Amino acid sequence: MLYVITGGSGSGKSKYAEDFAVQVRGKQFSSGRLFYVATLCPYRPSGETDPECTARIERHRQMRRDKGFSTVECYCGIGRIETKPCDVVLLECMSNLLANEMYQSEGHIRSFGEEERKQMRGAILSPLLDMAKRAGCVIVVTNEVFSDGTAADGETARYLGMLADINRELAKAADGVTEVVCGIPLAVV
Amino acid sequence: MVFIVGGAHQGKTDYAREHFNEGCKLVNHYHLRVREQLRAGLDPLREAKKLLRSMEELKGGLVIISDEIGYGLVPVDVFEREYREKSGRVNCYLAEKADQVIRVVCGIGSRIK
Repeated sequence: MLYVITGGSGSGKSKYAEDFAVQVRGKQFSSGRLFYVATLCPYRPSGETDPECTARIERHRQMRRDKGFSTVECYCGIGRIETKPCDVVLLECMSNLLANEMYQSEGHIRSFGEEERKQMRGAILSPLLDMAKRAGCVIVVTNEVFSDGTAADGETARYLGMLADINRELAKAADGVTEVVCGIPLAVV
Repeated sequence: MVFIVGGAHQGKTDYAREHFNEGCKLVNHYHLRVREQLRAGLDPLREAKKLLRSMEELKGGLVIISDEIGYGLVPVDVFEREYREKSGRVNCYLAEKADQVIRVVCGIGSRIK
């Protein structure tokens, strides 16, 4: 099973996604494990820690404390995550994972044009869709970052285009898509 | 309390005027207050709690309107990033406390709570 949860910044989508994952596991996959795939990297390219990211990570840790998640830190290459048929996996979040795959030294998206889409598929979409078939349930948190109102420059537009492609592909394959607005879940599909 | 949320210029104020009577206290552009509070070094969540407490005795109802501003890319500026994040959290809080939440898109209001 595959669920996509989207929303703006500070919309409460993470809390909703966590509670949803716990609920799905409780109802349908109580024999499986509950994974939290954390993609936000606390390090800057220079190797120093980024205090804002660290604070964000800590806030999320506090929020999911006592919910029964095993955290897997995975900045790139989600294909290496192994799951069993009853596992529930929450991926938080797609916008960070894509940025890591595009801009971190170990990222897999290295080319431009046609080739970059293939690399994106290989690194993100295919392993996720596979996981959704093999595991009990995969829940992907993504981000609505497309209504800025300002024209994005070349590189930003490239990132946005790719994130939008991923969101659309995932939504097409998903059993449910939910937009969270001010903490309130709205069913998109 | 009624909380009306939506992007800028979506018709939130018109919606409020059409659907809620004149006896209602209207607090408009709440996101701008959040911005001012941050500028003044205040905690916007605490300020929102204070506001609701001060309005508890209010007769005739309360309508709060705020922009939804978290639908773009992460801003480069630190203050803008904090503002965007905090205004989202304040909106979540107001929505949680509200009896009704209306989201206005293109002038059309949908009751989401």
